[in-house]
Amino acid sequence: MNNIYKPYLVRIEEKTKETYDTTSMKLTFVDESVGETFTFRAGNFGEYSVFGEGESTFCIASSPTRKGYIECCFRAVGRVTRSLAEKEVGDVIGFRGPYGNDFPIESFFGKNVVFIAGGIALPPVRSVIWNVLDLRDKFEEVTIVYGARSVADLVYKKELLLWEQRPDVTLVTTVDPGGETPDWKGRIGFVPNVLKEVAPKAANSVAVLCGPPIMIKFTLPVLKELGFGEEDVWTTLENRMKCGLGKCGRCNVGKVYVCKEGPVFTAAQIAKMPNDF
Amino acid sequence: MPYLAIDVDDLPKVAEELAARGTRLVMPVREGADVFYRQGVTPSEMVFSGLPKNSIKEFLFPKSERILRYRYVGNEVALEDVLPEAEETAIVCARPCDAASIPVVAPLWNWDYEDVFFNMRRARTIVITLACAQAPDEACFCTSVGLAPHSDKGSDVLLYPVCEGRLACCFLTDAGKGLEPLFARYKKGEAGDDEIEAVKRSGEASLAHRRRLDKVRAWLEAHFEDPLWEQKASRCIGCGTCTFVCPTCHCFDIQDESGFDTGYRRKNWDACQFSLFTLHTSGHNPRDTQPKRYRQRIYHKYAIYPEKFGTVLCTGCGRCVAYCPVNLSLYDVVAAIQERAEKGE
Repeated sequence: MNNIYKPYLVRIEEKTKETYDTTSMKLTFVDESVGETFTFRAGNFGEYSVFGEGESTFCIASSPTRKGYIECCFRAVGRVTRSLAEKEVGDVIGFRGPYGNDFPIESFFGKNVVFIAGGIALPPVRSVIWNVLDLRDKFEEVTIVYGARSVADLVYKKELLLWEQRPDVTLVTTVDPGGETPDWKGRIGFVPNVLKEVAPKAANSVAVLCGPPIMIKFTLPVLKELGFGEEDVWTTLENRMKCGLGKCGRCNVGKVYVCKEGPVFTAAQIAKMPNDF
Repeated sequence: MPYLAIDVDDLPKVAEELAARGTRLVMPVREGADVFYRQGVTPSEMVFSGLPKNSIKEFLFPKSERILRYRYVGNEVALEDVLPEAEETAIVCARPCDAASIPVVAPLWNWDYEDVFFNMRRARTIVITLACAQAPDEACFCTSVGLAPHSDKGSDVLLYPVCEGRLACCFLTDAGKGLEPLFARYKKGEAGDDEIEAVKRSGEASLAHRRRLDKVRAWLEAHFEDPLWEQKASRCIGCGTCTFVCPTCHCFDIQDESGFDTGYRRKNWDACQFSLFTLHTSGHNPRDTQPKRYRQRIYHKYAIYPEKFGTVLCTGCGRCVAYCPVNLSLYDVVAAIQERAEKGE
């Protein structure tokens, strides 16, 4: 019986507390043969389950260039994510996926790539970042602008250090005014303003943008001002989902089912959507 | 072409013979003042008139169903498939609008990913439909959505109530044709095309709502933002009744039913009219007011679904009109939209 709602069993290999409420995990497939054949693309998402609690939707945060495992990163907010955060290394959870469309990485070859992320939206961008960095020769300049409300809210801090140290990556981190600590060496300011200061060049460039709706709203005009075309700005829509399969009926924005036709869209595609997100 | 005819009083006997073969029977029966489709009832209780309060949806897509079993064994987890409870089923005396809902929703359940729970039930369900010579409810509007009181869409056998208490039988599908010998045992003469045409005419003429809705979709495409939504839908109380009585509404939730170390994952009916339906973790809600949620329902039925699957997600059964606790009639809303579209507004 082919049950589309049946997840793969995955084991927590590593667990990292990223912030006071955010946890990342590295997951391997209990059935090794699945692990050997499982493939996905940057931008795909999945349904993660704690059996007895339910399922929750988030992206695959690791790069498809790293095979044999997947990573995820989530805030413990609801019933499922809170119990998931309590799971320990060695525990088994469920994963359904990969679902949705993806970032057309190949079309970014030979271009500058500008990553812009806010808060907990770094994980979906991180999948693309590592995908790009693992194929570094194929791209021109790589710029990452990452902001959070406060220093305590920055996720993947160890990797921020790695990216900062790489000569082939320009990393700019920022926190909202008041969110800095005495030893904070990054910038202070909202992502759209910081992006304006950094002013990555728009010629031969693409931007990958993920963040809370308010950040997206104020960042899109900045990108436009900098000269980025709407077709060259890529983002993801993070609507509530249950099935991930185009059936349960809640993730659509107008006619667009985010779980099947998204979650990755260009700014041009978003501009055509009705105000339903 | 002459059609085999049986006495209407013999239809319960046909049903009884199906039951004797081990087939689960679903049919309309009276409960108090109301009619409901029920399973496991005695064929002699079958009623031939009235619009059942529920649709046949729950017999193909139950309100709540188990889709997976999990078991914790120490740190390990074992998953077991749960077979759909899909008995051989005969829905007898279905209304044409209910029968039509099955092929309407089937493409959704098979959109790239095949839902075995719906598919297995559908494959094991035979639908014997009674055409309406008289609209069973004043809320009926099937012709407005391209169907008819005698529509054969989704039916395996269609019965026309012709004169003298007889039913003219049309065997439509292979499964339906397989029942012909059974019906033939109760043969009471034949009925001609003229008698069937008379049933069709009287059914159509008896409909209170007959407005064509052919311009609704185009209007919707251009009026996502429009004062109409606030005007019409601010009185909606978001109870979800319209979605639950609807034969084509199919939104669902996935929840775990947990025990100590074992439990089940379940698929449960859900409704786009609930505020939690689209609420994000962050607290943001794309559809944060009732008019937006009401608009989603109309859009889904008359614009989104036709674009994806080539058919409106509505069979005009009128239940959402009849059972709305605040008398917010979907028909009135779509008819108002049609009127505005005709006026070019």
